Amino acid sequence: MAMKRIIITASCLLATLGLAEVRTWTSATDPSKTFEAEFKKSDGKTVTVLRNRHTQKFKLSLLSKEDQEWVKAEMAKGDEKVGTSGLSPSEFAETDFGKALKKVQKIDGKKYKKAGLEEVPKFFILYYSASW
Amino acid sequence: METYKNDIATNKNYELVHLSLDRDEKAASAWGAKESMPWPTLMNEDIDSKVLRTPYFPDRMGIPAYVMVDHTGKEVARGKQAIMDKIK
Repeated sequence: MAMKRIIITASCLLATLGLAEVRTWTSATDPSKTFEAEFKKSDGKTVTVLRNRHTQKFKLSLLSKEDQEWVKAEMAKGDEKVGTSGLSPSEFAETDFGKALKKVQKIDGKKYKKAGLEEVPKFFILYYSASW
Repeated sequence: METYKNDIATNKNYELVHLSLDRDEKAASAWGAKESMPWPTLMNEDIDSKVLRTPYFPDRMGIPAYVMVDHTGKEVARGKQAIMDKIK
């Protein structure tokens, strides 16, 4: 019981301090080359990580496509606004209802394009209709 | 459209999501473009029936239909007038 309390306290402390999870990164040219490091920041062209307590900065293009997409998704999270629901779009996307609305599109000229929700409101008005 | 622009688009507590029942995506796109629909839309093939149709839109229900739900999907109002009463 005491150990469980210690683990929970430590987890909360880490979360409070904003310590991110260490993840495995893969080389763009050689998938067998990997390393473990904590993501710190990116400007879209370079990425900075914390590896073995040392900060390292390198070109984003040196990482695998999956890693590059992960970095872009992390950057997008930083730009997200918390809506009146109290949730950011990425938090909402993890809920059952959010998953169902994940594929929303918006008209762009003559075609619909994937748009996503910029903010998550308290309420949605579901409007069922058709052109006919 | 005017109601959306004046009462919904300007109010951060609400967003309208159009659930297109057009099986023909071209027809849905043409309609959306013609009317310059500004709201987010879910195409028919992207509508999760279990989450977005069965609970709110029974088979015999006519269109257009309006259902207000909270961000967890809990229904709070049904019908255009009831929804407008909640908003105003």
